Amino acid sequence: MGAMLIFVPAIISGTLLAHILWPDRSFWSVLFKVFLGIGLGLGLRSLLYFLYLLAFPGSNAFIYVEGTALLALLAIAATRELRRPRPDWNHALPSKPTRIQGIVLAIGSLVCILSLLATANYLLRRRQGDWDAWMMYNRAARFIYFDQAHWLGSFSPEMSPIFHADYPLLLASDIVAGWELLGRDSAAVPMVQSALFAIACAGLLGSSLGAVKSLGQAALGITLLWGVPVFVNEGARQMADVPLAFFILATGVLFFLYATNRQRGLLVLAGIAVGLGAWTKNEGTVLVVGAVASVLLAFVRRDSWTALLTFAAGLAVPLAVVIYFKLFLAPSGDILLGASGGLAAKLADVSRHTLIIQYLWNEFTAFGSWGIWGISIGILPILAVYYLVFRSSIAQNVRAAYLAGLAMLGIQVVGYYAAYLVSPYDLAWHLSYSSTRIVAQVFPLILFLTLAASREAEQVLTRVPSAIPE
Amino acid sequence: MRILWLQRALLGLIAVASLYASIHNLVSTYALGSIADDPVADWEQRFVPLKERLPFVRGVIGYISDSDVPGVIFNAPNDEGEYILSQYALAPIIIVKGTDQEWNVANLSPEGFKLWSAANAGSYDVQPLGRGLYLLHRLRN
Repeated sequence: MGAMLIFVPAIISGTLLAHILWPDRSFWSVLFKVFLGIGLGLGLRSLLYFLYLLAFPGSNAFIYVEGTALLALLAIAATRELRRPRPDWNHALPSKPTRIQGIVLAIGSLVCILSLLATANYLLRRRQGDWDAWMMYNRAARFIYFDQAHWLGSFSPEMSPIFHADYPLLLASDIVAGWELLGRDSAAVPMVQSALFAIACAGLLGSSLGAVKSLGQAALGITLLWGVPVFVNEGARQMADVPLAFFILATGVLFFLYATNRQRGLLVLAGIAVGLGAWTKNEGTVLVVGAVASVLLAFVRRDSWTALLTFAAGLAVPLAVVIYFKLFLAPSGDILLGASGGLAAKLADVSRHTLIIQYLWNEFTAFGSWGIWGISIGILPILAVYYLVFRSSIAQNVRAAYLAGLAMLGIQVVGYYAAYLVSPYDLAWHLSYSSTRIVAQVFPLILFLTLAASREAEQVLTRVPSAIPE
Repeated sequence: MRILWLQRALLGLIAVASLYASIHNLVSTYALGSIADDPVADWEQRFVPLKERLPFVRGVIGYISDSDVPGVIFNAPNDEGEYILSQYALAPIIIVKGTDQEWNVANLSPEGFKLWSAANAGSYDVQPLGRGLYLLHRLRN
């Protein structure tokens, strides 16, 4: 129980920050901010703990730092709320679901409950996580926690590169913050952290589809996301792929909301999400490139350079921490080390290109297979068919959002391709070990963009399509 | 009208397939083992006596396993996994492969230990810690 409670202040802080930057009061946006707040809160606590360690290692006083941050955010949010007119709750609450919406919601809820139970089962049977968890994230957390006063030794060049001491510290630093608050190292902290990111990812997808489409589309989104076993299990493995998927999804959705609302706070939040993505995994660096390119392509022409500056305001602090970590603490990464040796030969090696394309194609066709009737068709071809059958016209004001989302996805895939191309490892092994997980990182955003561009589920299922409430 | 039925059929397929996959996945998680089992914690427990006997709480120690002993048959993925688990268990002490450090840990099968000790007699003070684990203290020549 204690391991759950220690996450509450961070989640409240994240939600408050999201509300301060985007003070919309509608039901779906409040729900969206709660799920966004989970990831933002955990990520920002990780950053804060890292900075605290740099300044006061071994002082065991983080509870005061986190408490102060929470109180400050609470005071700002309360002051701003008091100055605003009283909310019209009738407008803020969603309309009563129709019968069809109720059925779609019931199916989504059932899938959600089954997948939550599967997540709990997985976590309880793999208390310390899977291979990468105890090789990288939980190992790094133990190094920092067990010898806080000398925590910089965690990045010693003497440690084998196999342990990836160069990896950003979002998960590890957040785990240590949790252990410090709890007063002991407990496997329950990374377990809860893993579950929280999985829940936040599903909740963020559902609430954002609810905000931009309908209740039925929100339930369908959750059904599709958590009806895919490989994604559900990934969320219980205590690894960084689902947290990164969360930040990629959050960035895409915030761009989407900004395209329609033009509220600058949404771009600041997108910048924070991108920075936290870079603080989660090395692949997050590609997200920075993709997101900056997306802002330039989609919003600068429309809204002038202030769009980029606003986005940069959110990105600045997390990215500065990542750059500091990479420049002054982290040893050289395996991919970069590998890239420096025989780069030209690798780039020109046709067999490497062929193997990468073959693996990526296999992932496209088989990732997220439901595994029924012996058919191994994955979720992505099904989504492609779904889009062709359900596609709706895209309004002028959201075209920039799709451009931003697709540019981000495209650059992310190019980044993965380049990393494989220069990989120092046996390429077949590297691909087989990680290709499913990299698809998991972009799957929620692909799902969001597909469902946002499609007709609502309830519109198709209702006898009189025009009678559906929005 | 045909497209409407196609859309409805696709939604029905998604609902049935997602429910089936969720139930199947939930059932399959039971095959991961018992809740009472925690092999990583067991592995960590194995290293408790070693940590107690080391004269420092941070620093670098060497590590060898069956893969470092010529002539011993070993399972490469298991050997790699045990190396990683050992680093996890020994944190914040850093382990590096080989026995060049003053203090080293040997994680060896009975055959591996037999062959290794025959080749390294007199070079190390060997403290058996049980379950295939040995603390090796390099002797000064």
